[in-house]
This record gives sequence, structure tokens and C-alpha cells, in this order.
Amino acid sequence: MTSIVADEVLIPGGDFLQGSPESMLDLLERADQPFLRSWFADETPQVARRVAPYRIDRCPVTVGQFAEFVRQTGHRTEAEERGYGLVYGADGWGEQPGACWHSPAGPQWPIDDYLDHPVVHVSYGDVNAYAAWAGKRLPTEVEWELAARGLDFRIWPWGDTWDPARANTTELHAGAFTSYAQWQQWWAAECDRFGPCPRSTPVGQFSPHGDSPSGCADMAGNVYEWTATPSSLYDRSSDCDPTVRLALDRYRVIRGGSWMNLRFQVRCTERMHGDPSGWSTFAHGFRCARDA
Amino acid sequence: MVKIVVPGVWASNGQTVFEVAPGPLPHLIKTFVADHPAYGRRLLGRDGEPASYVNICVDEDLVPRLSRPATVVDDHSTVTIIPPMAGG
Repeated sequence: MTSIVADEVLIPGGDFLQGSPESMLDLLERADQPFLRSWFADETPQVARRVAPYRIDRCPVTVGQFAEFVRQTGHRTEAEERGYGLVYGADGWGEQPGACWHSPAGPQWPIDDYLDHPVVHVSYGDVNAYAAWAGKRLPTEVEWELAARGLDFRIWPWGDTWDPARANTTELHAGAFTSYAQWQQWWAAECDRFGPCPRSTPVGQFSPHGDSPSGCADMAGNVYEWTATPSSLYDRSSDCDPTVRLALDRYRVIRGGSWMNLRFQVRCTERMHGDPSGWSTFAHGFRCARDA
Repeated sequence: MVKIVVPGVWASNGQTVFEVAPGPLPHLIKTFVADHPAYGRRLLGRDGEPASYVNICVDEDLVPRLSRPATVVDDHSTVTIIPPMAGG
């Protein structure tokens, strides 16, 4: 427990503008990336927030930390109860028998030296159970973003200039892609060679050059991270994808992107929305926070 | 006809709205996949049924997974596919 408490960052809080300015969407529209402007509409307009001081884990919760939680509590994750986890194989997402937090690609693909990687295959229920055991809670979305970029806007935790060596994204493993088809081709080849094993990295591997201004690590890429905040738009009139609109009020916000993403999906203001009713995958993890 | 709406990120040619005949929800999804096989890996599980982890709304209402077999979609309704991770 001591190590869990020690590896936190105190965020003093303050007033800041959550989300992206329209100029960020202008940049995305001009960039060589495959998504329409409306795909990013849920991160605008910027909204004024006042955030109280809080503490947040410097890194995502690791497999080793989660193993200690399981040892002490006997917790069984929802993926274990179901008997399968969601794994992205050569043909897309699929239900992989036996895939769970200690066997993220399934038992036929054991992974060595995995204890310091972020834990995955954890549902919204699982991560809240862990947080309660640790005497913590999930960060809210605004707490997550403030820890990732500080009070001033910046695109990535380290600044506004992309550098593939500062974060675990697909671009670290495979170079710069600009289309989904390129990604699919790369991943199919990886699955052929190594199996559908997540390409996560040990937490903190990119410190300090990939850290946020507050010193948090892995806030761009590595694993997607759950937050406590129910999904909603900053402005209900935003013209967003209809499938995202129907997820609002039903899902929870997910932040940070993962090793499965390219540079623009791991921005500090990028938002995704996850089903909290038991779903988890081999690329989704979390970190904890608590009141200061 | 029933409108089927898929996420923009799934669209290979920009088309996100399709039409199928009204009917039982699982049959409707499978008919859609038969017409558009590229969506099969996203919508159907190993058993050939709509994947349990994909959420489905009929008009504004989320259909509970256990209620899918008994759900009949009427003419002029809209079926929206919501993947377990939306947006991004």
C-alpha cells in the first residue's frame, strides 16, 4: 500500500478551460488524418472549470498492483466471470476465451515481464473496486485533463510538437501512419508473428521526456484510461456523430488513447466514451485519484 | 424501411446510414450484414448472432441484451449501432 500512496502527484487545482479551442479542430481538419471534423466535435467548445486540489497517480495501475488487490480481496474481474475478454485480432475485435488481466491475449500467449505494465481487461466495476480497496477513486474527466496538460492548453503532455519517442502509440512501433488501412495491415502482420498481444509498455518508460507538466506519465498512449465522469457534450448543440450522441449519459469518458492509436487520438483533450456495464478490453486500463 | 446508422469511423466510403426491411432485431442485423459483409466482423459474434458487447438503440431507446431476440423493429424506425467504445 505504501508504494501505491507514494507514487502520486499533488495537483493544486485552479481555474482552467477544459477541451479544445476551435483552432485545434482547424488543425485536425488540415492534418493528414482520416476523420471528419465532426468526429472531434465532442471536445469543443472549451468550458470554464474550477478544480479543487487533488492527488492523482503518476502512472496507470500496474498488473503487479492489481495482482496484490486480487490476492488480498479475491476479486474476480467481469472478464474472468464471463470467461472471455475482448481482444483485437487480425480480423478486428473478438471474444477471446480466457483473456483477462493476467493473460491479456489469452492463455495461449503468455507474456513475460508483464508485472510493471498497465493492467487491462478491467471493467468500470473492476476499476472502482480496485480504487475503493486502495482508498482512492477514479479521477473525474476534468481532473484527468488538468493532470495531462496543466492550466495552459497544449496538444500533448510534453507540448505542441509531436514526437513518437515520447509516448507508446502505434507510431512508436510502426512509424507514421495516416490511414486505418495501414494500421490494419501492420496489426495483421504483428498478429501473425507474435499473436494478439497488447503492445503496452512498462509504466513510466517514457519519463521524464513524455511526462505532463505535473509529472504524470503515460497520459498519451499506452492504455486507454477510465474516468468517473458520465459522458456528455460540453455544448449539447455540438454537431457530433449520432452514435456518440446516443452514448451520452449512458457511457463514461475514457481518456488518453492507447498503443492502438496514432498521434491525434492521444491528445490531452481527446475524448472517448466507454460502456460501463461490464465491458473491458486488452487495451483499457486506469489510474486512481483522491482528494488532497 | 428501417434506417441503420453506424459510427462514422466504420464507414469505408463515407456512408453511415443504410436501409433494411423491418422485422425482428437479430434478423434485421444479420440481414444488414448479409447485404454489407464488411460489417460482419464488427457486428456479429463467433456464433453468428449480434455481438453481445455492441449496443443497439431503436430510436432513442437502448435495447437490453436479453431483450434483443424479442424486439421487433417497426417500419420507419432508426436502429443505431453504438460500439462499446464510442467516439475518439
